[in-house]
Amino acid sequence: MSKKRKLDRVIAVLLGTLATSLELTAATTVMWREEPWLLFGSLVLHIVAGLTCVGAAWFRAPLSQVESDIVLLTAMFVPVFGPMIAWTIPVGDDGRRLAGSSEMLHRVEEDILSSASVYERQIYSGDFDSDLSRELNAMSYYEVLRSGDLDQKRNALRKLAQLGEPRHMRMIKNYFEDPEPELRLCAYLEIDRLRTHRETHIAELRQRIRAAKERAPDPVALAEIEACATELAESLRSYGMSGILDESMARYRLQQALQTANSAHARFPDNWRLALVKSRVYCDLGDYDNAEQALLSLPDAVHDRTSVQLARASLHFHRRQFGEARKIARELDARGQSLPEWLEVLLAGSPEAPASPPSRSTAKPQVPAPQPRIPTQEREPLASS
Amino acid sequence: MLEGTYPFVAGGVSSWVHHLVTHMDDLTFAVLHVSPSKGFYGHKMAYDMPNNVLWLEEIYLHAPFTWRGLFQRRPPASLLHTFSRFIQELRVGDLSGFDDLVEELQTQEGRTKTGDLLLDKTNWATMVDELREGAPEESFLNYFWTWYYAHQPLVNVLTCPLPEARVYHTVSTGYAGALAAAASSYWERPMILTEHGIYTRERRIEIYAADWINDRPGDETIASEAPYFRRFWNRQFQMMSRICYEHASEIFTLYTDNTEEQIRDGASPDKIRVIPNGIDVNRFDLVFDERQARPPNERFTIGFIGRVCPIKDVRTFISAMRLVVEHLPDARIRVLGPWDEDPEYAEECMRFARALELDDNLVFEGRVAVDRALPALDLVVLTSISEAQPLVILEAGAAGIPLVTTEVGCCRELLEGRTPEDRSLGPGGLITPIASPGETARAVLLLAGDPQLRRQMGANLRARVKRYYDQGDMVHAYRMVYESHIVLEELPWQESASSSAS
Repeated sequence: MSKKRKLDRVIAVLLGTLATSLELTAATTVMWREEPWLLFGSLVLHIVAGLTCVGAAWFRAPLSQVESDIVLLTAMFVPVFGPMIAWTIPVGDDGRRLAGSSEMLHRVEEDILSSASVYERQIYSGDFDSDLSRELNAMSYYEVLRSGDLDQKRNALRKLAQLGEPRHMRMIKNYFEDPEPELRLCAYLEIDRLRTHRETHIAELRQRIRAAKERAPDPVALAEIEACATELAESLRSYGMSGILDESMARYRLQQALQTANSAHARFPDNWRLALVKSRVYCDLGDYDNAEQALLSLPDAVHDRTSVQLARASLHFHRRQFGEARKIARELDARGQSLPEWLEVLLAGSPEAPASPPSRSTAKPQVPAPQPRIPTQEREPLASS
Repeated sequence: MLEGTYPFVAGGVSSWVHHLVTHMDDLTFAVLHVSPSKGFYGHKMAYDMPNNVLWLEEIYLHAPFTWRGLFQRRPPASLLHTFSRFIQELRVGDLSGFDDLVEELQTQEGRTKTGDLLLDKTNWATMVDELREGAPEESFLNYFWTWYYAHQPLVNVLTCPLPEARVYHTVSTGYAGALAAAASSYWERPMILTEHGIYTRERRIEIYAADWINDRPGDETIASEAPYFRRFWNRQFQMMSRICYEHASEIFTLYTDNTEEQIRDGASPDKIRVIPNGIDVNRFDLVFDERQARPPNERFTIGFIGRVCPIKDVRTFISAMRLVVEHLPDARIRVLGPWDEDPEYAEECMRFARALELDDNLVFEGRVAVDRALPALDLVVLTSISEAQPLVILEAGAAGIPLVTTEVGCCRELLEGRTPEDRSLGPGGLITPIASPGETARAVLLLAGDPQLRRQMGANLRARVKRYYDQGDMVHAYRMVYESHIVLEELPWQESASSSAS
């Protein structure tokens, strides 16, 4: 190839590169900006790009017909290519919505939030009494529920549900009969959320047991059945004691817990945890003799365990043997074990202290006999047939 | 104008609409249904369209993000200004700009795209100002998308073509209500509203429970009001209800308790009237006779009639039935209702029933013809957490079946009577609190154990339904309402529909 031809090619490549760069710059300018002078600038760039391509073609033309055609076609289409990109992607005002929107949103966000600490936790309201009561976790939800407006009452119901103690559940359930339909529904939604969570967990455990049963007598499957059955019994018991259910369903769940623990214990007699669950369920159901029997059936090696001692303390408490219960509390305290609230109160004060271990012992022994009130009977007698 | 109901979803409101339309076969109807998005309900309709429905159109709340085409102009300045003014005024509860906005939007005949209107510079400034003033501490990105998605459905509804009608009737406030208000304002024709359940209340509950609304963390005090974005949505729905209430010539509801809430939400007490739901009582005479002919020693059968969905709280029903079966191991329990509205929940309920070992007693039968199912039932139970005036009570009542229902909507009114005269008929069933399986079970067992009481309550309820809840009265009342508002002239869409039919 002659020197001149080489030079022509270099010039043509340089001009082609320049044309493409100009096109890209023009397209980007139109995409990202909307001011008129930039649009004009972009147009000028397109024209220059086109002329540059023609120049490139001039230098390449002498080479061959095919190459010349390619270069000429490029020269024709490159000036169109840039605007095509620009028009395909929304231009002008709309450019802001696409390419620029994210940038703009962030700019405004920074602008607005520069003086505000967005996620700062607002702990102090400035009102000493309410701040103090909140710090002591004594903000009276009950007061709000008695006297607050609808919004506050809804908030209080949500917070009570988050606290999750059985006593809070009972408080929420009172709102099932509130004259305000909206509060009734809010109370229902809070309880239902917790109920769904528990039910799902129980269903999962059952499913795992079923799946493991299919693999039995594989020892790993048996171990899984044992573990899941123990957890299921405990979950059913804790569901029954959670305050989420009404009396009848709570009793039903406790009975299911007992049934699960009994059948699992019969299959895995060495599992002392199942015996412990049985004892606790009996105690919850008010059957203290059987609760004691279940505790006595535990192997000696586990008698000193905290969970066993707590179950024993609870049984003593329910039988109003406060001295015995306090003795266990002292022993546990001396060992540095953290005690549940009711046992701490017992340890600190008189047996009449307003504390009680979680229990359903006041519940009726079975689904109560069918004797509900007929709401209208007090007002209107039943019409004769 | 309908939203999330007839003809795509089966239920109480849908049945009510269907009754009304089919029983006024001398009138012609255009049905505009507001759906969440295209294809949301599929193409399957839950009802056969009556012949007098000449036009059915779906309007979508959420359309894909669109902006104007390449060679189209920005929306006219006057429209942008009107819209901006409208949303500014909406913030302070002033609805006076609504009519102007509808006029401007309709004049555009669909040329204005929602994106163009909402995201124009003019509104951008309004939106930013609103946040600066209202909640400067909230995340702007969060606010931007909340603002956009709160206004987009309303604009979509207002930009759709509005058919000319003699009278507009909406069965809820909300988007359908706004649509009806727009049509009424644009064509200067009267609009009436029948509210079964209170729309704003239902939305408030939904917003309360929604997990898709991002609250700013840290706002921990119980004394504080609801988080900003929840208040934002509540206000939006409240304003739409007010637009509908203000434009309605008359407002109807099914029972008295609803009126208080409507007034609280901005409805004028002078416009409100109660027209109770009604059923074709005579249709159930045959059912009643069939029930009477049932052998007394047949298995005791309890029915749950309704959609299997969370609002009916089917899980509480199943729990209650577990307790019932402890005492009545032979009881037969039938869940009669479609489960296509929330298949996941239905599946969960079925699993729950299996877990409670109710396989031998409880059957999910799906959707059935009520008058075919009723003769075999001894008792109907309703455990809903929210209702207006359930048709199932009227239907079971007309067949002489007593009910155990939760204390929702006007269930107490239906079972025990509204006026002293009505109450003198005696109770038609027992009322229990919501989400209380124990109470429900006790009530069921009481009625199961006392056939005489059951018969008596069934007879009381039947008498009440016959006297106060006849569909003929309801249809007649609405006919009077329509006639008082109708302007007699042929409308363009009726002409074209008639010619295409011929």
